[in-house]
Amino acid sequence: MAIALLHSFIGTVPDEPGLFPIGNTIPKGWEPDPNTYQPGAFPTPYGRAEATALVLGTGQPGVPLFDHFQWLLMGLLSGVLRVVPDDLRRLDNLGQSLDLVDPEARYFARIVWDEPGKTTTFGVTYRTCLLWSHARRTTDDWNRLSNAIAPRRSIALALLAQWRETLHSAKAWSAQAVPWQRAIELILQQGGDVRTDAASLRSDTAHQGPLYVLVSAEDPTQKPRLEWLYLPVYAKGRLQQFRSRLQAKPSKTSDSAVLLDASGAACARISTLPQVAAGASKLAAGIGTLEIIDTGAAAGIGAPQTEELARLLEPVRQALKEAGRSTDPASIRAAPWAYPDALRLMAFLQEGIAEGVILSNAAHMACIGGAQVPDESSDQVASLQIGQQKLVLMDALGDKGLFELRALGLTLYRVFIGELGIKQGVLTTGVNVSVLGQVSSPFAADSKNPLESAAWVTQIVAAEPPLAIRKRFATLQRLVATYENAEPMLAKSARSFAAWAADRGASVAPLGKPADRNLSFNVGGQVLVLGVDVPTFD
Amino acid sequence: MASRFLIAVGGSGQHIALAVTRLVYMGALESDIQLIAIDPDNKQPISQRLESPAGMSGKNHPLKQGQVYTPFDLSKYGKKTFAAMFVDESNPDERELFESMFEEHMDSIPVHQGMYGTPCVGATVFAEGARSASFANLLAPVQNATSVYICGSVVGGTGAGITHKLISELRRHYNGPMFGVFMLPWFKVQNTTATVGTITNADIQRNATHGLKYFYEHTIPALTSSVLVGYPENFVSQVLRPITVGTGDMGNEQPHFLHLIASHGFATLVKASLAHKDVKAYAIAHHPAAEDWLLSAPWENGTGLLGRDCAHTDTMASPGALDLRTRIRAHQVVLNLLKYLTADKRSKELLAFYGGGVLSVFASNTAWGDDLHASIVNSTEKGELRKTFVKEMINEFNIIAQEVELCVEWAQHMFPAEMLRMPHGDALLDRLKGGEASQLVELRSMWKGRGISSSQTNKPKGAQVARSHAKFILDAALKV
Repeated sequence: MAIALLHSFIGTVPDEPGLFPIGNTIPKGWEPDPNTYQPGAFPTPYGRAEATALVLGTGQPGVPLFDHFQWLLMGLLSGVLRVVPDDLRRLDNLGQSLDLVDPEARYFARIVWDEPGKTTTFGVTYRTCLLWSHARRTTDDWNRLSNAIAPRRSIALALLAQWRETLHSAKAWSAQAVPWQRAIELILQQGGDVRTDAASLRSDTAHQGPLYVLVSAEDPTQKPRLEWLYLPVYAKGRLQQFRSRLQAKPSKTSDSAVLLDASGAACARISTLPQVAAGASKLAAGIGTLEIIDTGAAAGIGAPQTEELARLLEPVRQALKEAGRSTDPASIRAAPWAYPDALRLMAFLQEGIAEGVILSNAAHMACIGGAQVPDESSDQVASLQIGQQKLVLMDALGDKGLFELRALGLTLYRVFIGELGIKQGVLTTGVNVSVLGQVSSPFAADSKNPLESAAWVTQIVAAEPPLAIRKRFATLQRLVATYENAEPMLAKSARSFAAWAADRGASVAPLGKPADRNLSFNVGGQVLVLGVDVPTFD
Repeated sequence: MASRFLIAVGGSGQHIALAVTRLVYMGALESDIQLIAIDPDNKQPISQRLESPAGMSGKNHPLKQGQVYTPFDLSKYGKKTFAAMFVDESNPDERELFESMFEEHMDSIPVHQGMYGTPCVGATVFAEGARSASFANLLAPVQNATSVYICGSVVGGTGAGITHKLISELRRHYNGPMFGVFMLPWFKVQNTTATVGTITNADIQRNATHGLKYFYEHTIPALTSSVLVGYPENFVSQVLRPITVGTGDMGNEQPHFLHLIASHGFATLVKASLAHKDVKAYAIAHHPAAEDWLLSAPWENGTGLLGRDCAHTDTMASPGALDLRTRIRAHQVVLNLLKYLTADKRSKELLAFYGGGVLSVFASNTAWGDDLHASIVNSTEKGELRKTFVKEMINEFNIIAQEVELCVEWAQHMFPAEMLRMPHGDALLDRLKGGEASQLVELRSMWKGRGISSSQTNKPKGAQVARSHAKFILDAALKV
């Protein structure tokens, strides 16, 4: 009987001497035992990554490399560990050689633990295994890390479960094809009942990375693809912190967009221009990384300047586009793991604003902050349909006073008493100071609301009513009467203004003769009739 | 010139390259194979043997050239340790990454001496060398190859560590058929406990399983097809005998039947891959009841190299399809007769006869044949010139004998004598056992009518005449 000239072989050997095929996958009995993987025995500097991927891919909890992976992952999700992205080409001799061994591993990250007085590396990232463990960390080191993670384990599992869902929804998840994803399935299975309310992936995480790793191909029959992917790290109230900072003033430095609080200090910083070598990825260098800074001062300084912030973040969008990423909010929300923090949070903040609804800038920002637009049966909101667009003004949104109807009411009042007229289609004081149509949203370039009052008008109605107006109660009654049967937006604006200006703690009843004459004011093709209570103007 | 390239990596690769050297010399493989050998410790005896097997070097090397290159520039790094080679102490991030990847005991490996059975070290060291311009220049000629064969092992630290990256580097120069010939565990070591600089059998087994896993995961797809060769555990036969080596023994050649088996890949892999394009990995079946199958198997129809630079012009015609046994046996005949001819007594007789020295009463051209005599007198004038000519001729006979001995001894080491005999008896070899008289008879018979008659203007040198007459012996032996 013929034998195979191999150290061992379980299979049929043909009688005829000479070549015979032994299959294109490793023959039975030749596999190393995953319990005894020795990374140094793999013919690659990435032996630890190789061994870890094999352990994860075969699903071997209890094997040290699997446990290390689990602690690294839990450590990151729980916020105990931190990602430090790096580029092999920055690292002289070793980096250059490793880059040549495996060009796809050029962009990597160290996983570090900041303890008092020291920072220790515990692992490194790699495409197949996501995370592999440091060769020289001792059992004591791992025990210490494990203990630090334990109090936040349920939080980490909650985030992991949600993160897995976002990847799965985006068709980027395959436990069969991607070793690290298989391991996460096992971790979640073993985690028991995951409390998904322990922490919210949307609101309580900071994105760290990105990491250049394998995810499932959209077509599961294809090989996994390489993607830039961000890891969620627990950061309680992150969304709220960012939301509050959108009221701060955007400014630009040489490498960042910064948001300056009322004291002029930076309360948030977003990296916009990482210094990278030619051909290097700006994503890898951390473009779009958001740093929330606690200055102790109020972030808001008045109306949000989100247009300016959006302009400053254009390099981030550009870098994403260069990496093949769409930057529209819907795409970001569909695959949030693929986007840096600033854009991810902004996309979530504006979720819920319906298509074609044009809000004022302040209302838009309030909605980004999570406030829901109230029902139009309320006196605090009114809309005006112009073609396909619906212009919305609000006096309040959630607990935020916007005074948009009241501000428009002031304009109606000033037209009514002859202080404002229409010149070249623009409502003006006569010295060409416009009172309406100011800003557009940075999140939808065509969202400009032509009935949004200028900031100086809004500031007037946000304060105490001027005595000169308060004394003219009868005029206020006639104003309300004039608009009683007008467009609901105008009627509500007149009522809102009159109630505020009369300062009697009650609404002003319509009373008296109607306006002497009318002006026609064209808003996007829709003609509004404005009452004038004086015979002439100008 | 387009040719096949043999890229031999590490100790196992050099063992295969030495086997291929002999097979090309004997004509069992065509002589279009060009060698590139890589080993960090290229000062060991095996590397020296490969660089100049039986004195054949430069243009005379059966594999075109035999230089063994280090995988990185030793002059640049000197005798640094692994850690010192890669870590810049002023760059803490680099040190951190290094320490993340490699265990502490690897730091002190003196890489200029080898990788100490640590494939991950070999792979890293090679990556450093692979980015040098000199290495790119070394591989550049491969772009003209008709096919490329990578030979090494998955057992040690060098071959196992280098192979995968080497293939991807080669692919930058060459997109044609590329075959792998890889040794699995084929020897055992005496030491059973790990000490610095040594490997244990457990290390060998560990490297094999891990190397094979990596090979199947990553390397196979880059190759047209591969053959894997290893020693079957606990099997002993006439040709399959286990080798156990001590510390440093692997610095010397350890001839083994499995190297011949591996070399057979040159003759078979191309055909197999054409017939079965989807097959990526092969093993070799061996029949214990017919262990001489490789001696009877078809190889290639090479001309062999014994007759290179000879004085007659019809030497390079292929002798046709011959099995390996016939070729080995013919070279045994050549060796037998050249030893007769270059024996001290015979050399002195030749020199005396042609040099005008003290003439033995027995000396005459009848002792070496009329046809060699004719070749000598037709090629040179009498007197000192002829003496010098004959000295050169005798010297060349000695050189040829060494070359042939390199092949014959190797074959005799692998196969028992009876297995090398022709299946239906071998009257010639039997006759040659009859002593000097028989040898002279056979020589005269083989040379009969083949004396060289050179023109006045084109007189061959002594070495060329020697080559011709050695080739006459070979031709005659191949026909028997």
